[in-house]
Amino acid sequence: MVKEVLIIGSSQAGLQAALDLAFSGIKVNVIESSPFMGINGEHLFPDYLLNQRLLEILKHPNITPWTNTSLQKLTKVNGIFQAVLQQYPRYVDLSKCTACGDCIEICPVIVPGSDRKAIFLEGQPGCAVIEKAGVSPCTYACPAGIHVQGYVALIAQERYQEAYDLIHSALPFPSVCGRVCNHYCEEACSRAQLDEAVNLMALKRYVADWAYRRKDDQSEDPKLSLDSTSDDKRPSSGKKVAIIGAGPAGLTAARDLIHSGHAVTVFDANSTAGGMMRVGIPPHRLPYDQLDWEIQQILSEGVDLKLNTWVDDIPGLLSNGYDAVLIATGAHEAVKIPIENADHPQNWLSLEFLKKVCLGEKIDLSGRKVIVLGGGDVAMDAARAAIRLGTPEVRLVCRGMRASFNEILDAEEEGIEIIRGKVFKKIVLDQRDISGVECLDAEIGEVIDGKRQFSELPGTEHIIPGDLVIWAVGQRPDFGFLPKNDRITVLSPEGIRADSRMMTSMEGVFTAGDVRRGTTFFVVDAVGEGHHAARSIDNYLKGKLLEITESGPSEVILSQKEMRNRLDQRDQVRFNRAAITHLPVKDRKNNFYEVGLTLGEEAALQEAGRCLICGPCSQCMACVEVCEPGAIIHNQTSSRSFIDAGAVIFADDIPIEFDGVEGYQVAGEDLETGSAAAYQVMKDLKLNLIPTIQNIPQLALLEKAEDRIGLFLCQCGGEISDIVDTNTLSAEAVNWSGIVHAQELQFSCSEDAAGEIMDIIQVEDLDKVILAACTCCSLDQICFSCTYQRLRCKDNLGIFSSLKSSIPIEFVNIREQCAWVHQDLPDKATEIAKILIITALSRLRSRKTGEQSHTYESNKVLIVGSGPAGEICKSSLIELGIETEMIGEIPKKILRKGGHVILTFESSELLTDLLVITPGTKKEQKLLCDVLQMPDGRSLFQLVDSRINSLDFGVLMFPPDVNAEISGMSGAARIAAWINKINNKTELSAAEVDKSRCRACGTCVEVCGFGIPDLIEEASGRYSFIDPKLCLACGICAAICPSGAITPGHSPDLQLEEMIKTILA
Amino acid sequence: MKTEEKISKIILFTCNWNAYSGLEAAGAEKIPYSPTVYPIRIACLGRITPGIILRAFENGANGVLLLGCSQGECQYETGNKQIAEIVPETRNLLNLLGYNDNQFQLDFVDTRDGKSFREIIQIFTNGIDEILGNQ
Amino acid sequence: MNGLKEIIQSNRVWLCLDCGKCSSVCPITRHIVEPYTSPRLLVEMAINSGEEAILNDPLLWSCLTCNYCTEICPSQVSFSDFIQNIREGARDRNQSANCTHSGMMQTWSRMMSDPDLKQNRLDWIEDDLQVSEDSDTVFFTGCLPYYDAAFSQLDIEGIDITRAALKILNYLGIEPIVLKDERCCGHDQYWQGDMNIFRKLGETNLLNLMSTGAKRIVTTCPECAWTLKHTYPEIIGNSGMEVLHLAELLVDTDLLETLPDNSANKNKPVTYQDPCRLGRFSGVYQSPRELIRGLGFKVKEMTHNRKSSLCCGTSCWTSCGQVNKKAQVERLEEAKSSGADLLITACIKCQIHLKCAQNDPILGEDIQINIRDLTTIIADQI
Repeated sequence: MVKEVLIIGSSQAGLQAALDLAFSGIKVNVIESSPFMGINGEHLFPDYLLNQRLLEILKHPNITPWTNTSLQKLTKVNGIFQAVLQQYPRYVDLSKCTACGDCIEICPVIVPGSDRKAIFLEGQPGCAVIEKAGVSPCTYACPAGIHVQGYVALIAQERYQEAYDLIHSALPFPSVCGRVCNHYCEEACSRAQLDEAVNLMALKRYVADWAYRRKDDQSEDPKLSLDSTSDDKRPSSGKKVAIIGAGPAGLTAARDLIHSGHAVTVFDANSTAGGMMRVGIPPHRLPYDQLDWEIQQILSEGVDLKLNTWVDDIPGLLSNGYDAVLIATGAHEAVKIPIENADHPQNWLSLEFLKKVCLGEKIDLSGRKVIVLGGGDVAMDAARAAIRLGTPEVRLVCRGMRASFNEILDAEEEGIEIIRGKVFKKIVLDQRDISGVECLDAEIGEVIDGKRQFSELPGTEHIIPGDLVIWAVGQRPDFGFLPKNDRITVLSPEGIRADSRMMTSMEGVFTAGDVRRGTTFFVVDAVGEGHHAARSIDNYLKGKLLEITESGPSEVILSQKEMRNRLDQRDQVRFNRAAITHLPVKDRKNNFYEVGLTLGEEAALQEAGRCLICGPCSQCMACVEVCEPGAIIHNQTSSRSFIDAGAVIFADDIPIEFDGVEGYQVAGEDLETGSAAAYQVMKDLKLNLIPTIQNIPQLALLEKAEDRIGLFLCQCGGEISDIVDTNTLSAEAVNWSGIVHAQELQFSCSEDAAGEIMDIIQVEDLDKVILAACTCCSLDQICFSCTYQRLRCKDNLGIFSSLKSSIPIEFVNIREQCAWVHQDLPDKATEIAKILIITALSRLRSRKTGEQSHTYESNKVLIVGSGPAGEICKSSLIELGIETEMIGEIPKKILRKGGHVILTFESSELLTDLLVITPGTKKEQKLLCDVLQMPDGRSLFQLVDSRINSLDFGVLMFPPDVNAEISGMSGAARIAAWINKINNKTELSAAEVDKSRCRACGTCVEVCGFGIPDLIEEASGRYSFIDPKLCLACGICAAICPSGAITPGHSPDLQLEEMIKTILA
Repeated sequence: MKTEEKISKIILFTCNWNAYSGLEAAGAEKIPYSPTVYPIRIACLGRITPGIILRAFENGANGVLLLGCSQGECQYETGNKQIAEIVPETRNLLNLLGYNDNQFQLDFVDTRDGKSFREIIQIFTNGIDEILGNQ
Repeated sequence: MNGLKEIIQSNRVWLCLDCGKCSSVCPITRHIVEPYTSPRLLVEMAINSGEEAILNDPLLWSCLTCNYCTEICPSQVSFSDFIQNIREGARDRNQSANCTHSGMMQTWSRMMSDPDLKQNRLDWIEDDLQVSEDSDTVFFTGCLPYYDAAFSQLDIEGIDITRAALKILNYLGIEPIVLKDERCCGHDQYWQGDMNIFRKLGETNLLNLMSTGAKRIVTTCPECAWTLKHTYPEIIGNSGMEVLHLAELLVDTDLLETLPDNSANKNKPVTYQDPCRLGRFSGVYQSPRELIRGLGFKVKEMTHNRKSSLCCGTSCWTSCGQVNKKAQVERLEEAKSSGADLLITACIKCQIHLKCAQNDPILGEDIQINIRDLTTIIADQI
């Protein structure tokens, strides 16, 4: 018989069922699909009571709450329900979040169609949750792994530094990819499907330029970038890596490897670092000052750069102390087509030409007629470079044009003649000099497996005039430096062969970038490969053979409808992306000034505002940065669980059917249906209540002598310690009487903290502990002010589970009561904290220890009244094996005395602890109300009704007009729960009567709101008896007792006096 | 004499329920109240006796403020009725001992009502300052 | 504290004959069940087992110092003083009795020990009552106004008594001085061995009293009377003033002759409770009775009266419980069975303690009898 129960949904009725079952000793799983419990539907309780109730659920040892969890599958196999649960990630650690709200404040994203942030907190369990449908398409598309939506969101909030840091943490060259990227992100952008993609490249460049303008303030700013902050903490691995090639792939890998603690040397044959970025792309597209600054940042992290160094002995590197090598030499060799006169000296190679240009060599082309052969970006760069070198006459001849539309426009504006659809036949010479290129027209066919087809048109021979030919028809890597013995195999026509780890055929030698691909790709691809290679090398050096790829959240795909909604929700009209402006043509003559200009702030902000917030979480990581306890887990994944249950209750606000599987349905707000269902389950599971008979040990006051008290001060990650000087307090505390150990804790509500406290208790042999944090009482009780964190803290310390084993712990709230209210007066806050702690000391000294436990004298239930609910309740109770008796006659009087309910009849008296009153008619109800008297004159009904959960009194009432079936059964469930709860109650808080000091005056009997004290006759005389199983420890009787015979459960006179004296000392 | 500020100390007894949650709310919402107020939390105001209040003044308190639940909202049914009976009696004793009515007050706060919690404290502490001649 | 030896010497403890008479009359001994204790045993302990033993005996703090034992003792062992002396020492070891009413009375007394305390204790003096700055008589009110406030629930005669006293004095043409900064006399502190507070209270009182230039002090409280008359001169200093309980003053006046017709009281049976400090301590038994008879009442004595009168059961607002309740119930039953329908006492504490005992949900009628103070009874006739 499986004793566990499954409750689907956390409607109020469901929670009532959970409580009844849990108190009856049955294990309950509550499955809630949202991240917070009991927040759906109407509420019959005010918030503070709902909160109290939810915490009761979360706290109960018999209840396992499953939030963010959906029921995937439910089947019934020979009487046992088998459930498959899918728990979706919260992205916040329930055991760490302190609900401080910093993340919510910092989050730049407001979820479309709502007024809350992408990280939010709106109920219990009181921990934040991130709304993340997955990774936004832009981010998903970026080979370099930039959190694109993230920097867009940050820009929209004018948080440029953070935006820059976010980009820079994934991409060492923001300025480059803000200019010459092929932006896969924009292709993926959802907005493109509405009007135009967000101009992500321009935005990236905007922050890159912004950051560069501030580079000098930044150099002082330690938070230059996310990664460089952690410099000093980085532990060195003792391993050395040699990287050949200081291009985007090589430098990216270098930075990553430095961050992983390896020593890195980068070799480059050129006189400057940056590879193709620096010697391939001419300044009018990519100015170098910014790039050089970015490269400098990498070097300043400790990369050893060796320029003008041609490395051709890779095995030598490995034998000379390098543990791994990365080949990232790129593809710097421009090729020619083998046609007649192609090797005439006036044939230049594009890359050699561009390199000279980039390195600022003087080249004068005035008077020359230049022909550039090729239709790619390199050709375009060569042509536009050429026209800046003194000649107005530059022709770009190609078969098919592959350069971007914008660039073609720029080129033509600048006066370059672009001639498409030609096939080159031969270089024509006039005597010794080139006079032109003979071409054939080509007919352009369609694309077949990725390659456009062409066919020459015979007889169309003609000559394009020119005296200088620059070849830009393709590039390839130079493999000359590889070991001759083919130990590193090359797949021609592609690049170096590498496995999924990017390791070459030679152990310990890796490759990345163009040299692996065999031709020039884009910077962002190289960066991506750089990251990949670095990860692999790191794993290799750490002995992890296979790369562990944690499968983060998948890509979000918005439906057209959803996209339109988001547009409307932000009442945004569609408008086109902000385009970057260009330098006027007249200003470009004979210079290499940058042509593309950056966006203005206004344009940038508006452009960022166009983002559709696909995430909705943008993964800007601001929450991670700000979260002191480190509770944010962005790559958390969902998990599956399997539960066997003996019964199922469907308690969603909307009743649900689960493919035919029979469960009990309870109505959203009707607590009685909840209890009724609980009864059904108790019946199904054959509940049997075995009262645990225990005697009531005498409570001893703690010895005052030789205290060994430990004081722990919670910093609450600064929430407290930024105001209250916990450091000084912990230093002073050891001088306070009784305290032998004092220390601070960063987060006392974490498991680690609890562990630390337990250890110290052992090591220091402590007999009492004071924890000054936000938790305020050490009781197994939840009051209106309680929070999830306080519960967690007490639970970690075993307050709920094992009062016996754990030593006395006193809590002081120095957060709300000191740090937070007096944050403008830190000294005062500290002083008050000190006083509150010392008062806690005195409280601790006069605190009771030991344990009370009780058993009902009788578990017999009496039922009064002719209502139909009575009969059903009776049969139900008997079904549960609880002795029950119907009382036909209406008593003359019903009152609670000495913890029992006493029914007085004409000639007899009946005593019970469990009473169910079920009037059959309004008249009978009135009659019963009249006979029901509490000591203070109030009707017992008022008392019962005034409590949501009348369990606390073992007395229930069902008016005549209720649904007899439901009420009867619910009555049975609550009685069962009450019996078990009371029989296993362990509290330290009952008031105690000193017989010798009791004058039996009965004032306590009169004043108790629950009729618990009673006057008892004994040989030595009469005295008052207070039933510890019922006493709620309010202390009112103790206050009114003239002779001081009653010691209250909490705050006895001595304790209060001590506290007063401490405060006023 | 009147010119120099006398630092007063005020003992605040709150019950564990409405009043304490008012105090907590003030904290949680960072609504500052006078730092001369030192809270002592008890289960119920009904726990308080004239003796305890006198002891506070004996030990130098400038004021004692009792904050609990409004009538009918006592978690223990009779607590606030009980304290309401004790207060006049105690006030008479304090008058005999030469104390001012403003130095000892009973009031209630609604659950989680940090604002009115602060207001009550404000009014009370102002009263005390008047007596001490802090203006 | 002086050594145990001196205490034993000075209080004639060593003369104890072990006759056990004290045990037969001690209200505690007679009612206590567990653990048994008695003056005789304690005295024996003092002589044989020494200090430690006594300090742990329940009688040390539960003794009412009613002096009945001494009264009956063939060797006049002054047990009450012995107890007082021992308590002084016990205090030095932070021992003390359990306070009743969560220490309210002890607290206000301690507060009054501050010489700078400015009380506001004269509001009870209504316009029809005459007091003066300059008179040969001081009316010492004692803690009556305080009890009046503290026991509002118990419907006791608090300031009724002070008003009555003034009314009577005025009737006799006396317009007494009433001190606005009078302190608690310190009786309870003295008998509880709290000499520090007692001295402070006494010194302040003496100064205030002597500064009036009056010749005599009148009070309605037997404890104040005894303390001012005997304890102050012994411990603090002599004011040189005559100290009288109102009853003592009144018998020597022509008050009774001048009072209007009192036939209303004719032969009304009343009984009189001798307060320990007025009776056995001060030996004033006759005056109150004469006054009561003078008012026309018929005095029905209780079984125990005068020298053998029973204590009201509680002293010094400490250790009050089952045993004390029994003593009080016994006394009330005696009063009932005396056939009287009014119990008159001359001490506010007797009234408070007995009325408190009457607050019993079960005994009901058996112990219900109207209780009044001699002073107010007399004032009624004016």
